[in-house]
Amino acid sequence: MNWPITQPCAGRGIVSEQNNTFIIAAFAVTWVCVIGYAVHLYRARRVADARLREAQQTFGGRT
Amino acid sequence: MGVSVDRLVAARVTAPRDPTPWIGVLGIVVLVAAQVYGVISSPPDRDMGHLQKIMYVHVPAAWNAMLAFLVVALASLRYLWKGRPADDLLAASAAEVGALLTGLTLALGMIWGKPTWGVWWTWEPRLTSTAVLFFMFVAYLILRSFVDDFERRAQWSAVVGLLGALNVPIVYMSVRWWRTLHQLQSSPMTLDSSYTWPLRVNAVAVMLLMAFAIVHRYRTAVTEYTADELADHAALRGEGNRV
Amino acid sequence: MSSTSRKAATLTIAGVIVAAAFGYMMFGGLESNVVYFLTPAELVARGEGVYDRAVRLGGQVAPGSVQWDANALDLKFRVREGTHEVVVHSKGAPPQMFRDGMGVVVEGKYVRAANGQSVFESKNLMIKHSEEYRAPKDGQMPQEMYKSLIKGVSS
Repeated sequence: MNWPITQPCAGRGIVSEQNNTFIIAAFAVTWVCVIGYAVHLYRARRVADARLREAQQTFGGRT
Repeated sequence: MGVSVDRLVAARVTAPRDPTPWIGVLGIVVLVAAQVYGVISSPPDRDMGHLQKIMYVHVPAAWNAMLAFLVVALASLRYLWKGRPADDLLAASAAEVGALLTGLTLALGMIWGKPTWGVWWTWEPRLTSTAVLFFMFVAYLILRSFVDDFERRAQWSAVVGLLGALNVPIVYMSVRWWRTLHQLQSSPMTLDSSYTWPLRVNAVAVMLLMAFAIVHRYRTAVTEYTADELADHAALRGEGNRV
Repeated sequence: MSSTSRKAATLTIAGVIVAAAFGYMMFGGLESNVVYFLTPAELVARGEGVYDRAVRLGGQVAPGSVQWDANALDLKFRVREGTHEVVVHSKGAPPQMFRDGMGVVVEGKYVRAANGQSVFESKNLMIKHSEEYRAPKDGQMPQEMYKSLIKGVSS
């Protein structure tokens, strides 16, 4: 079924087009969040791994 | 300090390759599929038309934020009880993911509110209590970055984390306790079946990603902790200057 | 731990406590204290003191009460809760979900009109929809109400 308000409405313009903008914005914000945080996780892990390697080389892996 | 360092170090040093990245990739694939399913399969709502589809991102973010804060509460409690560093690191990881999801919930709620309610924001109880929850966990993360001493940081964090998590039931019940602009929680009774399944599938997809993020963040935190402990032990043995 | 980071940590904790306390004070008092909106009956019951002050009024758009002038973008309707009603006047197009029977919250002032009848002058009209999400039934289009209400001049 098609969204019915495809004609301009008094005082509001074309509602269906405006709604599509909000829907796309919501999904886009979600993906920016998901991808952005994934990159953050990946980088944090790389930095931590490097730090651990350095610590092991410098101080030895005494356990 | 560092009661269980030896065990942590041993675990980290001998750990097999981290399998969690594949869970993350799986989560992303499932999320894409869930969103495509939701957008394609559900009809427009009789009142808000296709804007109903924002439900598939807003509601899973909100539910999973609450789950993440439940993890914070349990890990913080166990830290205060047993004092294991691992619990503090787990609480911090879940708090970071929970804060992110709460921020996302607020942003998506604003995007949904503007075309449906007519406003981006209003100071009503559900929105205000969610904002308080968000800022408490932002404060939690800022607090952690300011305190260097591990035990003190862990103790304060556990207290703030518990206080913050206490907000979760208040946020959840706010729409029943007070007059709000936000509607009551929907249930399978008030949702057509064409909306319930896409919502559940999307919620599970976000839950997979959340679990992945918390575990991944936790393993990173353990790695950092292990590196710090190695340096501390070396310093205690007087080897701090050997480079 | 250095003294500056101790100070910062203390400040952060203090900030958290203040923020939490503020939140609970705003809503902890329940109905007796600050409520998000008044019902028509509560608004009227406040008597003289309620006029010309910024308040929120909430209720249902009384079915059949909507008068919309599409050329002047001028909207008049009644907000109902139970048996009590208040006349609301607002400028500009309402949100797209506005229709007969929909829940609304309006921000504005209750003012005495020249004819003695009081009108709620709305500055901000918000929709309070229910927790129900339904697909339109066969032959029904979503948003039929809005279409007929906003496109045509029905007053």
